[in-house]
Amino acid sequence: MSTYLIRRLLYALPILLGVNLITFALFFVVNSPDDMARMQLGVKRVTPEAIEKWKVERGYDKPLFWNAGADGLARVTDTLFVSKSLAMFRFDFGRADDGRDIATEIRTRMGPSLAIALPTFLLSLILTIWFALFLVFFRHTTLDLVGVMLCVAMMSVSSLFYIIGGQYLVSKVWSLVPISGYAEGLDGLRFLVLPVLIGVLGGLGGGARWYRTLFLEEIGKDYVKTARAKGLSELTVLWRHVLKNGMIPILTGVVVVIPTLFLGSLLTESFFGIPGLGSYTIDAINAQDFAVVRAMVFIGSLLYIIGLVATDLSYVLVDPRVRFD
Amino acid sequence: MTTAPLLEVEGLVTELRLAGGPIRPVDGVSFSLSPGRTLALLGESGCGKSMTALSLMRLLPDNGRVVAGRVRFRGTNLLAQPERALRALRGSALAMIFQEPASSLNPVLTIGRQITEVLELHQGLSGPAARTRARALLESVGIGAADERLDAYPFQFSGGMKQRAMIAMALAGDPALLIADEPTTALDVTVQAQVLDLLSGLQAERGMAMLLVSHDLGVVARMADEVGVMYAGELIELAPAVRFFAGPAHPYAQQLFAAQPGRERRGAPLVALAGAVPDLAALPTACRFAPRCDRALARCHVDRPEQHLLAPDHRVRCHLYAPAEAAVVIGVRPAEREPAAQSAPPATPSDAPPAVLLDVRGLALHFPIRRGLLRRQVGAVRAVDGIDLALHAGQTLALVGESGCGKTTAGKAILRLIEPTGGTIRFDGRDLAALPAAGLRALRASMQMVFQDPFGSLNPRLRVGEIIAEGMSATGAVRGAGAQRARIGTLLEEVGLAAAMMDRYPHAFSGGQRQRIAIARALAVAPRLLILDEPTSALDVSVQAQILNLLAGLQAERGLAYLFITHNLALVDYFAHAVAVMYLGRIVEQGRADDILHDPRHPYTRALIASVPAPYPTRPADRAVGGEAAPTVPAGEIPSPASPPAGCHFHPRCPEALPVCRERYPEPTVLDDGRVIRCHVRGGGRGLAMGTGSVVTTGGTAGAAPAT
Repeated sequence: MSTYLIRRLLYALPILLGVNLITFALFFVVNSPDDMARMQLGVKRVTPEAIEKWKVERGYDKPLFWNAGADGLARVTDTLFVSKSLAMFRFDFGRADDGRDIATEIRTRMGPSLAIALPTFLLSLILTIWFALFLVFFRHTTLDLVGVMLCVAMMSVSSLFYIIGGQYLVSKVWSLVPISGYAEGLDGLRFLVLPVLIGVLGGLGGGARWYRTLFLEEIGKDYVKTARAKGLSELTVLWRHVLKNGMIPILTGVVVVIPTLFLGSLLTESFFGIPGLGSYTIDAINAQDFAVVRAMVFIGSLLYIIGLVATDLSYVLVDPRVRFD
Repeated sequence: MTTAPLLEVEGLVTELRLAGGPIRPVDGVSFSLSPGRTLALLGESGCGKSMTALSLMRLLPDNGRVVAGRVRFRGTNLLAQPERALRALRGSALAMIFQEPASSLNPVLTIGRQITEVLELHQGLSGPAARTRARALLESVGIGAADERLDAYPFQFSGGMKQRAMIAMALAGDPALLIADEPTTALDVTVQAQVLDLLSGLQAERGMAMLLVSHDLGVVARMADEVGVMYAGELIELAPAVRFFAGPAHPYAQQLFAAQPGRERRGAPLVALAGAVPDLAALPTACRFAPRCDRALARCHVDRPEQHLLAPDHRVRCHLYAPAEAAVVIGVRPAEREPAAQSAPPATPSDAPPAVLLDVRGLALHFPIRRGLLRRQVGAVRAVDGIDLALHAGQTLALVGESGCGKTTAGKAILRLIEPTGGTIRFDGRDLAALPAAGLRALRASMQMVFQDPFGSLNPRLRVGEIIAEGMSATGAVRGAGAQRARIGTLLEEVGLAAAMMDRYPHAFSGGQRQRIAIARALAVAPRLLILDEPTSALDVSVQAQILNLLAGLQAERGLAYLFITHNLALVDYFAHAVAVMYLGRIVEQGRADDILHDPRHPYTRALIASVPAPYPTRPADRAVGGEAAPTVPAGEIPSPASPPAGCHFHPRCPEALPVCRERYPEPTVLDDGRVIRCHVRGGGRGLAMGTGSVVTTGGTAGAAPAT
């Protein structure tokens, strides 16, 4: 088990390096440090000196990958890629273009992101499984047919529609909760209800339809016939036998996203004005703030890799056949 | 003797709703079963025997329902009971075990949990009391160290142990009727013998009635008191087992016997039923068997036959036994009829065997086991561990063994589909191991393989013609689209299909037809050697007979050599000239088929042969009573090839093992009749174990030793 874990974490290094390299390359294909400076200083009335000064102040006066002017190892290390991108392996994210420390920003914004993402994740998992089992219990009946049609209808609607429609109906027409905003503590609960509800609703259709298929596949297997031949009721068969086996593929899809919950949701956070990491990323992209984008992509891929390893480990918990030597 | 029946089934009709309309896999089935007795439902796949069993328990699939009939169990009609009342019976008075122990147990629950859930439900036991009872149940089905095994998961059990655990689960509710749906079909023959012994022992102990569903005449003969033969949803014959095996009445039942391969049919083609079981969606309106029946009368194609009584307890649904016809036909037995001369028999070995075509020496294939951070090799699975084989041109060598013995891997290694670890393979005098990758292409033109599963081995996205043409193009055997099409047409006709079928996709064909396509594909490059890997084990016995006749005909016409990989000894006895018996990667006994099968020397060969149930009934007194296996059937199962036992691999299961067997693997010894055997007990002294009927070769000096 521990050797497996060590090997997997060693594999993560080249992956992270690659992600870094690609993000870096992609960004500088469309942007040069000069463009960044011009963007920050305002497009009009910028002197070359001001640009040069901006670059020197922020360390963008170096070449991208190869410093021909330097000596020895510094030809490689004294470049933008090494000083800006590889520094992140030390969790040194540097400063955003507005001068704020990115690491501090991430710490403060993580809370609001989790406050939305965690309840959405848990509620939708429970609700989706419950709804899928409900449909499977009534399989081949009109109720099942209507349920599947509802699922297809729900997954066909854009998530933007859920957000705007929900805000219009619940907040504007019925005036039940505020349209957007955020507050700390219990007081903030009223801001969370609507985004969580909409997050759950938006994912329900596709999820339930998928889980229903998984459960139906399980229900055709021989061990279900054995369980019925024992005289167990259909509900016991579903809860004790089918659910446990059906959870194996569900878990694979679900555990991998748990670490990335920290990053929040780009769309929900921007629409509901939540000061989380999702809106932070969107704002940085709009402002072409490479330092923030780079940091968020790095953290995102790191969390994703952790999610993948966690998925493998979770197999050991739910499937007794899986062991790591 | 005449107790009230426990189960009475009358006019049972079951319907399945399919996209093309409803079909009736069970159509008017009636029988009864008394306590302590065994009724076997016999038939080929798709005849409705499993559906009958599921209908009794009302465990049909979602699209199935019983539309007519009565199932009286202890006097109450189960079909009229509410679901709740039936649930109380399922798992208690009525229990069921299934064909595939591997998939019939829930993989994520412990064995103990799966047994105790029955005890909780029907016996009101829970906690330690349930656990104690579950442990006793496991012990009663012959599973040792039961307390630890309760906490094991199904994947930690071998195939035979899983089926034993299934039986323990079925016994947990103390059933009066046990329905066993092909309980040993997925098991190896030695394990099958153990499980059948266990079942009949438990039945005698508890006085259970048993409804056995099987396609295997040997298993039915071994277990049944009464036999019901099913065909296309109907019960066409019902008779006491002794009467049935002495002379089945229905022409279909007779043909089932005639299609069995075995020694007595050696050299002659098998009587093969034409065609296949009819599609239930398009059944003949008259007799369902008439289109395939060689004795059909004019009225068989017009009227549905009634049931006729040949004796008070023997009924048959066939016009031949109508009072007006009966005098003419009764007494005609399949054995007395001349089989149709469809193809030439396999050639009997002549005194001077033809030249050796394939000569395998010390062939080894080891799969590395890697562990740790750096994936260092810590051991090897010795799937094939130094085997010698010699196959003569135009002859058949059978490679026999139970699952996991390495026989399929050996076949693939010979073709270099998997690169062997060691040894030499000489084909027609040339060393194949030294062949560069480019030379392999020429090799493929002379050696081809036919695989076990005709459904998995044909690419579903390619037309039949394209599948056959691929090999021709790759080896350059036939070039040009026109020439290829002409050749494909000839090949398809040669294997008994129509040339026009080349433009269809594999899904349009039945299992037997697909195997014919697979044979045509192999023949397309005009090979001299075919490696046949269990070519008929996925097929029904009547279709198997067709394929065997085809293979025999092709061998006679083209002088093909076959390496026939199989677990079925009756097939070997019918078909093979030479046989090699394999156990855990090594060949334990090898020689002429006739010598080995009728005078086996190696304890493993003897055990294999003793385990095959004979297709005639054995008297109840002969049957082993209790959970103990008969002495000739080895205990335990084939161990993992990753950690074979030290010394002779077979010694832990061997009834004759000596101390030396634990220490070193026996060297090969050549006996007088030319066979090679690796055994300390029977290979040591020449002539020591000479039985009657063995062939004494002229070269053997010790050949005159007295028989023991």
